Amino acid sequence: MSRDRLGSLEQQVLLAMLRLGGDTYAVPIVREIREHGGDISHASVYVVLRRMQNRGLVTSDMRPPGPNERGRERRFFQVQAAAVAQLQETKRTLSSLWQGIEVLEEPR
Amino acid sequence: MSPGQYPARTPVIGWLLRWIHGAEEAGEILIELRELGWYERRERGALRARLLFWRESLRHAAGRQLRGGMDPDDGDGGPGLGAWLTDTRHALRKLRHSPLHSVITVAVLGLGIGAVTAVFSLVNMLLFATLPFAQPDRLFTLEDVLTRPGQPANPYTPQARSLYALRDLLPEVDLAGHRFGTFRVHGGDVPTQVIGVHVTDRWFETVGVRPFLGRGFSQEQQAAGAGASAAMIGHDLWQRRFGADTSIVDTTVLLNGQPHLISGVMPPGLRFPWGSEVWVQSEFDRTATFSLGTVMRVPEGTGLTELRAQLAVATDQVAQMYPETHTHLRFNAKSLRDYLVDNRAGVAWMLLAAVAMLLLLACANVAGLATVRVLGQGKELAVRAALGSGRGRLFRLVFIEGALLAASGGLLGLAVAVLLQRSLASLGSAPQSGVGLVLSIGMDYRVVGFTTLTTGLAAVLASTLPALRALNSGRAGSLLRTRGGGEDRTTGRLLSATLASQAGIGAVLLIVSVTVAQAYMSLESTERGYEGTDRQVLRVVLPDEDFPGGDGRWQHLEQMARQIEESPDVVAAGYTHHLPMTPGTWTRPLTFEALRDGVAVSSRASVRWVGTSYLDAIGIDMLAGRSFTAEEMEAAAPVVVISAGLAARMSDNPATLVGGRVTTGSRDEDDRPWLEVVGVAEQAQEEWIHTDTVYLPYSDVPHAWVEMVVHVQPGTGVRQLAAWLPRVDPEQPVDDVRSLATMAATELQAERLATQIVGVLAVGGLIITLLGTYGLVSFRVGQRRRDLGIRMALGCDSRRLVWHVVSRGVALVAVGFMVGALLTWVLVPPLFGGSVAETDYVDLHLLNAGLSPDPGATSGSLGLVLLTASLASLIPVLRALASNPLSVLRED
Repeated sequence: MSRDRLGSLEQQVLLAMLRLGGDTYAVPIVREIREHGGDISHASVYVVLRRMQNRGLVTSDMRPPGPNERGRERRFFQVQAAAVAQLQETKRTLSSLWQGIEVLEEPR
Repeated sequence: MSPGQYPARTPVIGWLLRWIHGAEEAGEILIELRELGWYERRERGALRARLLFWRESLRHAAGRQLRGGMDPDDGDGGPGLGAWLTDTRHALRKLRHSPLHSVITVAVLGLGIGAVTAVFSLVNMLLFATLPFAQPDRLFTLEDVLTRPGQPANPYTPQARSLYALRDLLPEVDLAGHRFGTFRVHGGDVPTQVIGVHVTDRWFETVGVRPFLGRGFSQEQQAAGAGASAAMIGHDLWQRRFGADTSIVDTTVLLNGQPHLISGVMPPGLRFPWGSEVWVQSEFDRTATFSLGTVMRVPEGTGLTELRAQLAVATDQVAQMYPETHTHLRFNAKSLRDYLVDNRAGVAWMLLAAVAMLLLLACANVAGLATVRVLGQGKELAVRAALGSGRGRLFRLVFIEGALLAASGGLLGLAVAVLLQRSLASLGSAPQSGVGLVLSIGMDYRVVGFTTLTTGLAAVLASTLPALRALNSGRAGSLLRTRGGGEDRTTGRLLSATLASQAGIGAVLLIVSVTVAQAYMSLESTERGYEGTDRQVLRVVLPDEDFPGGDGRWQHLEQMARQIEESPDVVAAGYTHHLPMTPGTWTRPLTFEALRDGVAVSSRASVRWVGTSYLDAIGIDMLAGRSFTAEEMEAAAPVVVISAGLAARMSDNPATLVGGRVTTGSRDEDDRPWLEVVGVAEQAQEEWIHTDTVYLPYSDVPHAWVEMVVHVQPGTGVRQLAAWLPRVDPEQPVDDVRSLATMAATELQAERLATQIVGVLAVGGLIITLLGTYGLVSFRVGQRRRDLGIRMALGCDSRRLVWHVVSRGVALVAVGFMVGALLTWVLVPPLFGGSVAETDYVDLHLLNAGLSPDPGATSGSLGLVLLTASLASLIPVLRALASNPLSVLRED
């Protein structure tokens, strides 16, 4: 697997992050993906985020809990431009591949 | 709404995550997992939330390995069953490829698990067995303590009076008493003689026994008081004599010639007290001075301290009621459990310590073997990682191998345990407590489980931890180093420590077992001073019913002895109330009159009441003077025969003692009769503790329970004598003729069992040490094959190479051994060296022999362990040297 392509888990995580505003932490990502019918573990999201951080697709920083929240600091991740570009490229590739396959056409 | 945290406290998961991910990262993960848990609880309930939390946490724990690898998209969730099966097959193949290592590991595991389980089950039974009585913790025994020293003990206190007095004074405590008795059971061809007890009313309720058959003594029988016609019989007797006839209840059986109504059968194995097989209800004379065992059942919640306090008060009250008998007497209580199990506890603890040692040894060994196994596979793991195997996959492989080894070891261990247990049980020496509780040895499967779990955990942890460390720290590539394999500095030290410590543990096991074996052998070879061969023993019982007050007993016995001597097969016959070297002590303080520079000297000696021809019959020669005569018995003459050892300490010329005077009371008591010494007998070992003996005429204290010792012609069997006996006394049961030599052997059976157990542990330990050392050293040598090959290629002398490798292993083992030996020398004597306080039932003479490790045992063990280590090191070295150095070099 080439390093500059996005894996399916990475796509899911990035899309969920963008839906959540592009700046979030792992728990909402897990919940977002599950709400859309995906099944993913926190551990997987955690590992995928770290990996994308190493590749410069996301950045992270630690933030203290909000005034009404309990617990300690959480690590927030931000989607970077490179990630958006890769997502667009992946979408293009996949869309063109999807086109014209009649058996996969959903009934209108 | 801002999210909360659930579950609030997660110490175990927290620890696990911190251990794997480090504190900082674990903190980040935990807070998020708890947040997820909070959402889940809000939406699907607390149980689902906890499940989710645990599942996610475990994924995180494994995630480092499972998803840290090369392929980012190996999907979510763990590996499927198929992957596990594939890896299991692979692991099996790998185990087959290194058969030696696999076999050694499984053997070590199996031996360790087996020996530990077998011995622990036995020790567990001795130490922690529950007594077969209802709520046994509420049971105590009553002891009288004489507050004025030097007074003769129990037999002179009217204990029945104490019992009935205490019943009145302590209404909350149930008291019941039992008195030793012997019963001739009629029915069948020949009568049989059994031990039994006369018991007070409420005895069964107090002790808390439910009969196997029948109902115990009914209220009406109890109310009738002297309804002495009711009897319970033991399960064994019921099977032996009455063919397990269930209709026996409410039938009448003759006991000592008197009809008794059988009201029930006791549960199997229960022969409390004193090995009883018959329990007869009796009313006791309150003034009679016989020995009465007393059992107390206290109300729920009353402890020993409270009971003792109550007894202390009662002591004074009873003393006021009966000043003539109870002035110098104090009541004390002891828990029934201590009373029954006490005597063996020392040995049981020793065995338990030895078992723990063996378990430790097995764990250390297995851990060492598993570690080298993983390290030995370093290259393979590194290659697999390079070829794209995920870390999870590699970790799984290692884990499965460890688990497979542990499981096979567990199975083998189970088999070994069953075998060992059978052989221990088949020694025919299922330990019987001195007071008649037959405890059955059963396999304790919880112990099997525990042992397997412990050693298995050692195996799995030892194989996965090094792999985990290497994989987590990204050092998978470092496993590729050829020289030294995966053995880094820490691991090297760890392995050295394992080698040394297993030698140390092995040393402790070996030295202790050799010491115990030596003590046992010294007991066995003790110069007894009497003849064991061609001596047969017949138990004769002369019940009170036939000989009221003991009158006529000695005449009957003397006549019986003379009649037995008429048999052509018999040389001589004589009787004693207590055979040499059988359980129980009969001691008296002794004072010699005006001896040794005119000073009266007192000494303690065992006392034997014997017939006129006993010394002759058992083969104890007279050194000076003579034995008693029938005339002296008739006249109740105050005469005594003393043993040579006693005589020698009192005078340089024992013969001069004949005609002197001696008393069996204490020095201060002027009312004790003085006895004339008529003879000095050859020194004989009558008892383990007290080697000095005085022999008194049987007529002095005519016991009901007597052993007739018969000196037979060489070659005469027990059957021949048994065939002759009915001519002497047709009433006398003859089913109990035994040879004295056999009896002496059975006498030491508990000691033999203990010795054998320690022996099993030591042999097991030695084999484990041998295998483990071999496994570790051969791994190390294998890792150095390249090194050795280069040296060989450069022309290094092979002898020097061998010395180089072997000396290192042997040195480590020697150091470990020294530490272990030192520990043994320091710890064993204070723990087991002292002699046990004298009680009525000291029946483990090993303890009295005073265990202390001796230099011979230690150096012998050292030699054995060093030899083992040398062999274990030598074989792999020689194997490595035998291969062509060039081909070894080419391998890389």
